[in-house]
Amino acid sequence: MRAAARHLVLFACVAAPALARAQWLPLPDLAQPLIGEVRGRGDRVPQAGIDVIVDEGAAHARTDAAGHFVIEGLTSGPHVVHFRGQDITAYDERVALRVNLPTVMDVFVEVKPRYVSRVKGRTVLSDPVEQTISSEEIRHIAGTQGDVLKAVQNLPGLARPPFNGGLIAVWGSAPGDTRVYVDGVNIPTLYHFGGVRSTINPSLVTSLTLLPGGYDVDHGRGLGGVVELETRAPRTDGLHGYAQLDLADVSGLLEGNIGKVFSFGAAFRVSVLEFFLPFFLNERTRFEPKYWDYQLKLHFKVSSRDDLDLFFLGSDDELAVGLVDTNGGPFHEFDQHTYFHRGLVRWQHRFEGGATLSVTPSVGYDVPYGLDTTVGNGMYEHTDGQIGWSLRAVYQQPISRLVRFSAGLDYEGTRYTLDARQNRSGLYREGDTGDFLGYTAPNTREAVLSDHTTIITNHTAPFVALTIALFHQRLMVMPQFRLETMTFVGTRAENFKSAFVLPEPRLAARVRVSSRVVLQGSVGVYHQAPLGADFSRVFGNPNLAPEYAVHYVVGAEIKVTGTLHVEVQGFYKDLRNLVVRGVGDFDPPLEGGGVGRVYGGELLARQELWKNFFGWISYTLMRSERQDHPGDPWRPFQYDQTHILTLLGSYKLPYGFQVGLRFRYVTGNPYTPVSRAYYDVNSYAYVPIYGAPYSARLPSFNQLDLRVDKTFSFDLWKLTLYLDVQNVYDSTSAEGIIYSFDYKKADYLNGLPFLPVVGARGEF
Amino acid sequence: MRVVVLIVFVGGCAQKADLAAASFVDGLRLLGVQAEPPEAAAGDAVMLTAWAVDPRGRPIDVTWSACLLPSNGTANAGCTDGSGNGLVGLGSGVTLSMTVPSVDPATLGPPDATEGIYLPIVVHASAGGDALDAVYRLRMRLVAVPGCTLDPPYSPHCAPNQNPSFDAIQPLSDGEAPIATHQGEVWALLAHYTDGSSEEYEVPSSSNPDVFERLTTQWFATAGSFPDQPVGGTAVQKWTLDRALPPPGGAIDLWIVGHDERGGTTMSHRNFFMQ
Repeated sequence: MRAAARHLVLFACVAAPALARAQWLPLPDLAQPLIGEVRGRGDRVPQAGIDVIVDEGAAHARTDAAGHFVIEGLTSGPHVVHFRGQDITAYDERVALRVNLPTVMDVFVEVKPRYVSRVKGRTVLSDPVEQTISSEEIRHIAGTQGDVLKAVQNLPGLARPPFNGGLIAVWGSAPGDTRVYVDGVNIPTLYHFGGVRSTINPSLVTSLTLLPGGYDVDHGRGLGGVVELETRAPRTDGLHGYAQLDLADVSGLLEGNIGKVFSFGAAFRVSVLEFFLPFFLNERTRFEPKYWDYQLKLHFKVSSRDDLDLFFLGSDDELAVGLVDTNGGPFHEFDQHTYFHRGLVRWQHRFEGGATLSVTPSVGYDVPYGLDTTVGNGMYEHTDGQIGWSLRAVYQQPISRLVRFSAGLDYEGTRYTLDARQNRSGLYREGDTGDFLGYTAPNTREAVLSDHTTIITNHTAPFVALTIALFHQRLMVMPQFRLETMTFVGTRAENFKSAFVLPEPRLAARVRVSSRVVLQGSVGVYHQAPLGADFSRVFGNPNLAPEYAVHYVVGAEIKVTGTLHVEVQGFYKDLRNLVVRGVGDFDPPLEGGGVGRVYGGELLARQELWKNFFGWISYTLMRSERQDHPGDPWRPFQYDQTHILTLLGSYKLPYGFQVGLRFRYVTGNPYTPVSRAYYDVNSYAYVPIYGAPYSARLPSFNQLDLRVDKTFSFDLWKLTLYLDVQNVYDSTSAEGIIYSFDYKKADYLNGLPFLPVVGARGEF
Repeated sequence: MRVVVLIVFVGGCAQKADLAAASFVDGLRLLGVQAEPPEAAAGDAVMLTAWAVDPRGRPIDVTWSACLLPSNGTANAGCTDGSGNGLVGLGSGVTLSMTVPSVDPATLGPPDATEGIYLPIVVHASAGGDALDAVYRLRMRLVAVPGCTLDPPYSPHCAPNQNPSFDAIQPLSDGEAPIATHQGEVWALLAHYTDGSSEEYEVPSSSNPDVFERLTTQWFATAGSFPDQPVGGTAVQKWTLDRALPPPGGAIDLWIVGHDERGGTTMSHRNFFMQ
């Protein structure tokens, strides 16, 4: 007891002075948590994996998948919060933390553009010749007005259409020989008339692949190539969209999620061109182009292995043209109305072990061509219409590390109707002569005939393919087989049946010579059905058989650097049994038996995004010829263009600017010259007599286009203003020949002059 | 895939200004041909008149031939290739009286939009070193239109075609007395047809079987310009004296040619002088 007391006194004597000198430090004021969400400016997309650093490292957190973060243990008062990440521009914000309440930050950061330049790798069952371009990359290509689907016209192998219109003539084949697919379903046209705009909203498209020829067995029924559009699933990270207006049209998109497993995307486009054109036309001319399109996509994430899409889409083009007399009455007019609508369902299943199955049924209604023409009292009409239905199923199974198996079914059926009152020659066909690009107005001097017919077609093609990797995967061989079965049944005025069983073997191979060089080649058989109108007994021939081609392709890919690729291809196409005009007195209006040959090569040097620049050079050297009847001389194909050169590039500048240039040089199209003419008194017009088909050629084409974009990023939305200038140096390009009234003088019809297009696009 | 019609229209509307209009006559031209009657059968007598003009005052020679080459309605290209194959000479002269030859209807091709079949008559005109070829298609009564007869009495709307005629070219006076005009003057002209010029006829294959002929008027002149060519029959034509004007006192010719759509024609002529 006495010792403890002594210790206490000692402690008190020693400690007391110390205690007396001691400063009482306050306990630290801990703030309530700092809570926040980090999203991208403009599109409001949550940013995951962003480092959130307080002051100079006093605290640190990382945003989760939803862009959220929470930081605790900070003292109250002012702090600086730093936001850092590989894909964002560094951002700092001052904040005052409180003791009594949590502090919530709603942060918008500038996201660096993610240029995803996706070129499909040469993986299993990939077509040996394909070019894929992603939507982000190509939105800024000059001369395309931001329409990513028009960018396909800059790829090698495509002829330049007249007036830079929307026809796709690839590797010397007619535009109708190349099939366009959206999510595996065929649509009749990729562009509104004249190539003004694409019929599918580009914002829904995730990739666009051009297969110019030598394509695999999962596609067929076209002697030309294949254009594949894949649309994306609608976004599930909130509500997003855009609205855009320029001189051609107004368009918009809205997409978002409905609950956790559903998402939707809806897009539209409506032309406004018809409101501006009257300012450029005289009062006697009526020219009223109108177009619109729509897409509605519903996505259902059924399970982790299943996706289900419901997709409705359609497009409508209407053109009314007339020359009006002083009393306002029509004197010569025609009205064209073409449209299509589709509804499809797509189920995709992923099996354990890597196998996949995709099933896509669809229905649709098309009027690919509807034309009414009035010349004086003469009324002419031609309307094609068809109801279509299809089923595509593709199963892919890896059998081993070195072998992959694929099989499927490609079925298409149509009920096609033709209602026509026209001259016996009907509508224009490649190889016809005429006043302009081969087109002639209805001929009042000729007989007018009528036909109303219905053709039922059913085309079924099962297919199989193997991909075999040999020699340590340096050699890949892809033997393939497609059994195309085509049936045609005519009703109403026609009454015929025909069926064709058409084997289509194909073979492709790739050899990896080195880590940078791949050689590839393919050979394959292809068939194409005649058009429904061609089976007309009055204007065509019910006994027509499918056209036929063999494609031969060899090429090489060279990976110069990680972002610079060079591809060269050589190709030859042997075309047989082409539908041509009958010439004998007792021949039907149309007959098979025409032949063609296409040969050439192409080069594509492509720089993917590198130091803010991307671009490519494409060059094609090609010859396309036809022989319409045995013994006829070979003649150039209508779209035979010997040289096709495209150089384009785009560079991202600071402060939201981007600039792009495109230069093109193309050999002029062949045309058939007029050798003489006579005056037809009854129709008070001169009638030209033509020389050898396509024996003359227009001058070559060259043009420079420029595009400048400026993007303003706000927290909740983005605004892009763009200027797209076509034909910067006002080059005069000859698109055709026009003649004096008596055909004694001729001059060139020039393409569009210098043409600036301005537009604005708001996105959220 | 069909050629985009939009391209055609752009081409059609882009006629270059330096390609002369058909209405301007500065050399040998055949403005029209009249057959009286304009619809005939084999063995009928027909008077043919060629309205050939040459502002340079050169004498004009005209020869006529019937083309018997097979046609599809449009004259066979061989009719005018200069070889003479398939041609049957009918005579020469600005006017010609001919007897319609026998023709196999099968060689004339199927009917046109007006249910007519036609015999091509080749007209070759020359003056000085210039020459031109033209084809006038004479409507033939060889095959009856459904619902009609070839011989009288004719059913309503089945009578043979007749030539239209002008009863006035307003506001111009009749006759050949020259009319004064001056540079920059704008004439509003109307070709007024006589009653009955627009005949009603049958087109059984059309959705509208009873139609009236649509009359069309062509205007030609040695000076000035017309905004439209041709124009509908009841339409006013504006003629502006703005180009190729002669000196004061000089003469200007104006021709007016009227057509129905079945081969019938009429013509009128007026003289002007520059003040």
